[in-house]
Amino acid sequence: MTTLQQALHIFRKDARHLRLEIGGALLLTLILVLSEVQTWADLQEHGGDFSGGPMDVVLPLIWALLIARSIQTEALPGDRHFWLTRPYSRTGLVLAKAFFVAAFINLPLLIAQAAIVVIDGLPLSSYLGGLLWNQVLITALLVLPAAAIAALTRNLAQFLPIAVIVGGMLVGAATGPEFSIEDLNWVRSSIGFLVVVAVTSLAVWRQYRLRRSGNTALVALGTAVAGLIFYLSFPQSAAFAIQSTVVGTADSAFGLRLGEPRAIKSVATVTPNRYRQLLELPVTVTGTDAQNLEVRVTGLAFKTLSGVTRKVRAKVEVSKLGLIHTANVDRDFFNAAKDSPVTVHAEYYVTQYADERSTDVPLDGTPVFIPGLGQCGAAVNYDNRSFVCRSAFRNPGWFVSDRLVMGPVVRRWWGVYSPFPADVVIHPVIARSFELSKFDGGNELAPAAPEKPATLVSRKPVAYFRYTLDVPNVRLANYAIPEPKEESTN
Amino acid sequence: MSDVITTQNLTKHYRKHKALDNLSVTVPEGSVYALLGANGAGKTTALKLLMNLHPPTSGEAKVLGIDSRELQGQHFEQIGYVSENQDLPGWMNLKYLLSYLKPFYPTWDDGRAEELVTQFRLPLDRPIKHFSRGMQMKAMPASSLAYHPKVLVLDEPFSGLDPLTREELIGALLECGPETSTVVSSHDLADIESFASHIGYLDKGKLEFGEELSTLTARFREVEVTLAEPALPAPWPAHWLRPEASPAVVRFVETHFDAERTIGEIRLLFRGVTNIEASPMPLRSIFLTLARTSQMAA
Repeated sequence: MTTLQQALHIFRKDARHLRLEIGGALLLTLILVLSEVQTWADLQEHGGDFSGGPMDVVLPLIWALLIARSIQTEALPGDRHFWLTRPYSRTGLVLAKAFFVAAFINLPLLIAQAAIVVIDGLPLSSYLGGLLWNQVLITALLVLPAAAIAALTRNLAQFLPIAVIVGGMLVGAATGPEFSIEDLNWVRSSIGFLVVVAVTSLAVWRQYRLRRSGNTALVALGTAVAGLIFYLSFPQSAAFAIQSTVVGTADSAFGLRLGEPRAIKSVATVTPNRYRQLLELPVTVTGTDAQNLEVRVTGLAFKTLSGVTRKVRAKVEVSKLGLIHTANVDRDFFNAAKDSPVTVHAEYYVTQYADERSTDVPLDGTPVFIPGLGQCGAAVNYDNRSFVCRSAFRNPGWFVSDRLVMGPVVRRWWGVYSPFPADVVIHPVIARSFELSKFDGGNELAPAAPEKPATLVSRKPVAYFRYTLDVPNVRLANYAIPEPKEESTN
Repeated sequence: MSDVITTQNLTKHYRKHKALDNLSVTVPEGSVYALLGANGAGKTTALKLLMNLHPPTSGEAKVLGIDSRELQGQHFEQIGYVSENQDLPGWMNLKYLLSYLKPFYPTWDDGRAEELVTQFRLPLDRPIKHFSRGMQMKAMPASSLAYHPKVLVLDEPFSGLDPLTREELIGALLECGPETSTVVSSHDLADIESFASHIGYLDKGKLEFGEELSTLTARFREVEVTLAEPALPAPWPAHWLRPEASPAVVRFVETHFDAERTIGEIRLLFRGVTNIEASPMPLRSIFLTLARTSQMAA
C-alpha cells in the first residue's frame, strides 16, 4: 500500500467512525447558510451592521472537537494505542487527517461561504481571493492550533480545557494590542499569524515525527512564549518600515518647510494658562496636495543655541494651506527662548493617498457595487434611513478613505489598510451602516431626496513614509497664539 | 540460525527509577523466548523498548536488524505485538478490524484469519468494546497472527484468561511454526513451560540469566540429603538456594546441578550422608525459588 493509498484508507475509516460528528458539523454549516443569509431586500427591511451571528462561535468549536476526535482516533501520547505497532506510515497518517479536515471542514465552509456571498447578491468573482485566503486563515488559526493540541492530548477531556485556554489567548492577543497607526495593524496580525503557524506546525510535526509529548509540549510552549513576546513588543517604527516597503515610499519631490506665521486672533474662550504657551506652526507641503496626506507628528522638539531642548506634543490638522501644528510648551521655556534662535525638529509618519474615484450611489434603495469597496446603497426602515456598504471577507471600505457627499455634508468613513483580501471570518458578508436620519456632528443628513444620488468618493494609500524636518533660527514668539485678556473679576 | 532480536546494555530510567538495567539478550530465529520476573521486574518495559513505544535511556536494541528507535511504519509488517495494555479500536467490530488491517500487510492470509476467528470462537459483528476481556485478548492475536509475522512480541498474553482460552491461545501460537520467533512475558509459568524454548529471568530490571529452557531445567534440582547426624555446613555454597533443615534431612535447590560434582560436594560438606535425592524442578518452582531468594536478599 502506497502512502497515498494508506492515507485514503485511514481517511475512509475515520469518515465511517465519525459519521455522526461529521453529520452534525455539516448540518451546522448548512444552518449557517440558511440562518445568516441576508439579501439586499432583507437589509432594506432590517438594516444595521452585520458581521456574523452565533454560528461564528458554534462552528469553530464544533470543528475543533471534530479535529480532536479525528486525530485522537490515532492518539499520539501514550503507549496503548493499537496503531502504534501496526504498519502505519506517519506521513500517511498526517495526510489522512489533512484529507479529513479538508473534506469535512474546509470544503463545506468554502461552499457555504460561496453560497452566502452569491445569495446575498455580491459578485463571487470579486471575492475569490478572499474566499481562498480565508481558508488559509481558518486553517492556520483554527485547524492547526486544534490539531496541535489534539496531537498533544489523549482525549477530549484533556483537549477541551487546553483548547479553551489557547483559544482565549489567541482571541486576546488578536484583539488586544494595536498600533496607534491603525493601518499598520496588519503587520502585527501577520506576525501573530506566523507565530501561530510556526508553533503549531512545529508541535504537529514533532509529535508525528517523534511522538514525545512532554518534550514537544515544552518546546511548543517555549516557542509560543518567545513568539508572543516578539508579537507584543514589535515596534511601530519597524511596522511602518515594512508598510513603506509593501505600499510605497515618498516621491522625491515631496518636502515640508516651516511657513510664515499666520495672523492669529487670541483664543477667546480659553482662559490664560500661566504655565503653558500655545504655538501654531504652519508647515507647507511641496510635491503633493496636502489634502492627500494623513500626518502624525512624533518627536516635535525645540532646541535653543545653549542646548536646552523641549519635547512637545502637537496636534496636526491638514488644510488646503498645509499642515497646521498646534503645540504647547511650558511657559518658562517659552519666555526664555521666544526671542532667541531656536531649532525646530519634527518627525512625521506620513500616509499619502491617491487614485481618488467618485461613484454616484442612488438613495432610492438600489445598491451599487463598487469594486474594491463593496455593495453600497441607502436602506429605508420605517422612518429611519441609513447608508449601508457591505462586502465579503473584509470590512467594507477597505479603501482608506470614503466620503459620502450630499451637498455640503461630508461623511468620512475610514477603513483600515491590509494587503490581504480577507480577515478570518466564518460568516463572510460584513455590512456597515450609518444613519442618515439623525444628526451627525451637527449636520442633518436626512431626509435626502431619494432622486438625488449621493457621491461616494474613495481613494487609496499609495505611500507610507517618515519625514524629518529640521528648521534652524526660528523665533518662537512669532508663532505664539496670543493669550486672551484676563477676565475681569469685578 | 541468526538472531531476530538483540539488545546491548539496554537501560531505561523513568525519572529516578531504573526500570531496566543493562539488558543484553539475544533471541534466536524460530525460538520462543520467555521473559520471566516478578511484578515490576522490567519485562513490560523491555518489550515496550523493543517495540519503540518508549525510547531507551541508553544501550540499544535491534529487531530484525533494525534499531528499535527507528522502528515504525513498514517495519511492523513483519512484527506482531500483543499486550494486555493495548487498546483496540472499540467502535470497530472484528470483521471490520480485520478488513481494515488487511491492506496494511502484504502477507495477510484471509484463510488464517478466518481459522483464528473460528478457533477462538470470536463474534465478527459485535463491536469490540462489547467484547469480554478474554475475547479482547483473543482478538489481538487473531489480528496479529493472520499475516504470519516474523517476530511476535507478547506482553502478558494470558493475563486474565480462563484455562480453556489459554489453551486455545497457546495452540494458536504453536501453530505459528519456526518462521515466527516469539518473545513472551508472562506469569503463567506452567503455560510458558509448555512452549518456551528460552527463558530470561529479570529481577529489578537486571537479567539474572537467559538460556535455553532445557539447560535451565537441567541445572536446577531440588536436592534432599538424609543425614545420620543433623548439621548445616558452613560456609554454605552460594549456588545452593533456599536451604531447609530438619533433624535428619537437609533440603536445598542446586542451581548448577551436575550429578557427579554435586554429590561430591555434598559428601565433602556433610558428614554421615545416608541418602541423596535430586529431583527435577518445574519452571514454576525454579521461578519461585529465585523470586523468594531475591526477596530475602532485599
